[in-house]
Amino acid sequence: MTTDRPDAVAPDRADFAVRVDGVTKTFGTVHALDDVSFQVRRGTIHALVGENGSGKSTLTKVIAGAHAPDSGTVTLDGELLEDLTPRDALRKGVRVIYQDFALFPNMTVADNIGFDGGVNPAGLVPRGKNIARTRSALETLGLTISPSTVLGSLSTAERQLVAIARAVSADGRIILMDEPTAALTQKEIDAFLGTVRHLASQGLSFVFISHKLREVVEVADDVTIIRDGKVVESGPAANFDQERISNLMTGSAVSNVRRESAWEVTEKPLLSARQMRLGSVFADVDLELHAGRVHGLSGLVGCGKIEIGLALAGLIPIDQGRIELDGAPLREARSERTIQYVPDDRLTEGLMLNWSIADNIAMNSLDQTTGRGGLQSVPKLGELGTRWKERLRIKTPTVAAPVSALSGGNQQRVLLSRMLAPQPRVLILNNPTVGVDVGSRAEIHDLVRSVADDGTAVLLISDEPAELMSICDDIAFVVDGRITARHAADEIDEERIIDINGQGKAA
Amino acid sequence: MIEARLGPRAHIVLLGALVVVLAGTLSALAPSTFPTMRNMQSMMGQIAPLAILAICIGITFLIGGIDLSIVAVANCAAITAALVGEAMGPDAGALGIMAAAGSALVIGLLAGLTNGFLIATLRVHPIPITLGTMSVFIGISTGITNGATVFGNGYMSGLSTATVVLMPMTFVVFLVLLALCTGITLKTRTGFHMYALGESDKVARYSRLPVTRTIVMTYAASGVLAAIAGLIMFSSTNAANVSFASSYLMQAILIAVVAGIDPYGGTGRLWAILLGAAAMQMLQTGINMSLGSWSGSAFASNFIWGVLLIAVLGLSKWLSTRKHRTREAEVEEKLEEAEAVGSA
Repeated sequence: MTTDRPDAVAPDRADFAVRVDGVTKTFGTVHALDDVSFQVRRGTIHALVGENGSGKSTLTKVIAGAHAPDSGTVTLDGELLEDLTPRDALRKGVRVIYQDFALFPNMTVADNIGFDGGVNPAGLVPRGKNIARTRSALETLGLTISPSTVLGSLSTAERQLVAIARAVSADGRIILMDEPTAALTQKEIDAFLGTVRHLASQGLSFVFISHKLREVVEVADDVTIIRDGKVVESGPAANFDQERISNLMTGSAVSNVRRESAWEVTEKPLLSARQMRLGSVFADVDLELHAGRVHGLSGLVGCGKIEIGLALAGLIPIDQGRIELDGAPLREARSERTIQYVPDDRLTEGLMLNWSIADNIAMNSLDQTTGRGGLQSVPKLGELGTRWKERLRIKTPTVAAPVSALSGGNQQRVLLSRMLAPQPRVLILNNPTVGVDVGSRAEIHDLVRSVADDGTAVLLISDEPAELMSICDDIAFVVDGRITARHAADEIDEERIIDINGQGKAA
Repeated sequence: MIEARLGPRAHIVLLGALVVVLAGTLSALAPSTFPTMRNMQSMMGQIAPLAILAICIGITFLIGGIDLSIVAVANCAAITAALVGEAMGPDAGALGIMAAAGSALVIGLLAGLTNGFLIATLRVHPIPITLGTMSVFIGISTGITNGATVFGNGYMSGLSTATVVLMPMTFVVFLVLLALCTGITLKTRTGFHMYALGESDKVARYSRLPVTRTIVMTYAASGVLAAIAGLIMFSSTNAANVSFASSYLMQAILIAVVAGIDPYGGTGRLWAILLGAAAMQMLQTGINMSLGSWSGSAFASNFIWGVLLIAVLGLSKWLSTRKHRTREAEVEEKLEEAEAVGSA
């Protein structure tokens, strides 16, 4: 694969498809990007790697014109663009493929690919032209999908490819991809990366965001590593191996901590699921959560692991099977206060952003803010908030401040405080460190371990192998809604987790 | 601590100022008729049923909904009271009053529960749902009365003529209900759940708050309050008809908005409905005084309500955005200071 890569010699300025110079971007007190410079050579694949919250997404948004930088410049295709708008970026051929694809599942492939191609003067959608365009775009990618297929009936990998076909057909020349392989199995990833390589050799330029380091090393021409909003290292992929990237990403600060204080498995599980089934989402799910132990749930994006967590919290119904708490059937899981669920999208599912920190923390434990005569008391609300602010070291001058003023890590602490305040016996966490800085992440991991040490049964649903390794005692793997493998955490490592998930059905 | 739920204080200050200015102006313009005990009592009596309907709008606004069926429910309750009173006969006495009022309240409760269950279970926006139930309630009332006005036998009139501490009884009923609702929303868990649901029903659901129960309870309360408003209207006219008080819906919405209760939910102080209702009644009195002889005065007041509604919505949005920004900026400043101190 190395033969068709362009030479790594420094090309002149015009040969950069994207050139970012000295860009700084702050959100409130948070330096999302700090004097970042970054170049993508034409016709190459440039991997952008970093931990959650390191600034990767912000950088792609700056290139796409979605965020105006506070200072610094963006040059696209050799043209310096002042006040880059999303429209300018589109005109210069920049296309962003987001993790959730932003496609319309109810429409056909042709409609999805052609919908931004404009309309004819009568305002009608040129259906015939769209189909022709779609056919040629799919051919470019070597795909054999019919343009009239409804998108929803395609596999995740095929949808990912349709998203790329759309970008290519709409004259995309600089394609930014955010975690494009998160939902793909290893076989699909191989085919997908092959297609990307093929397109790059035809002159398209790619920015490839990923934290699957193996892919990065395999496919990228150049690698840029970003940490806490700063570029720590950038250069040809040949200069890096997985370990070096990993060290640079984390700043070598994170040693591979593992949980060593797990309680013994008790005879009776605290919370158990027996033969749970929900439509085509998950089936035959058996899970046992034991006091003092952290159980991990791993799997590709969209495999059903999140829905299993939601079902245990009573947030979605199940068709079959049963949930038992202390051995007794649990009918109304949703109103069971001893179970608490932490959603992963804290901005829309977790927090009332305008509300004060205290209001947000107290939400699930209003019995603790009851004052005289059984009435809610504002001073007690403040006390509860302050107690948790100190306990979880939330960085804020006062708990009366709105949550929206906090950084991602501190917002996440507010959310965790809310779920810990009612002293749950079972805690279900869904990707608890998404968009959180490295320091907060380590602290949140410590917190989850100590919560488990106190005898809480924890279910950790995570997309990140490192996180699973750092917290869990046992890990179950979910493929297409079924648990296909179970391992004790000390039997396996991060690589093995990626392998098991990547194998898909075969596992 | 709970400012985000209460909304900007500047709104209340402005509203209070508006009430004072209106009272001052009207007193100056008509010193012999406006600032008199008689006029005050008459204004209180007039505004009471409308102000109670504004509480219905207020509590449903708080949870991010709206109840458009309130006037229909009020009329339905009034008609029920009239018919039950008639059936009990003129000699039923206290028992007759209790039966009539009780059946009206039950009708209100049933109507509210219907709204609540439909909204909570179908999860459709409350505007189409309550528009639908409004038509249903009007249809039922029309069917029962054939669209004719039904009259009572006067046994309820005591409600509208009695006074308590110089205030009409009906106004005192409003004050008690308002105090009760304010207390519930600000001082109980259910109230917290109402605010939470209005601020973001998604977050409330993920936080596993009792969302369905809160919705059903709020609309049930709205139905009962509307029935009380209907009883008050019935007591003062001794008559009930499906088409009575048709302008009250918009005016009740206006009072709730003027009082600073966010139609998107999650923000507002219910007690400010008292100020909103006062401003509303005085404006109405002012319009009547200045345009009373003009044949188009009714339309003029509609026009003024419309302008006022839009202006207050704009102002209130601007105030709360500004307030939120300053609160955020304060925190950031303090954090930066703390960091500067820490690193020094």
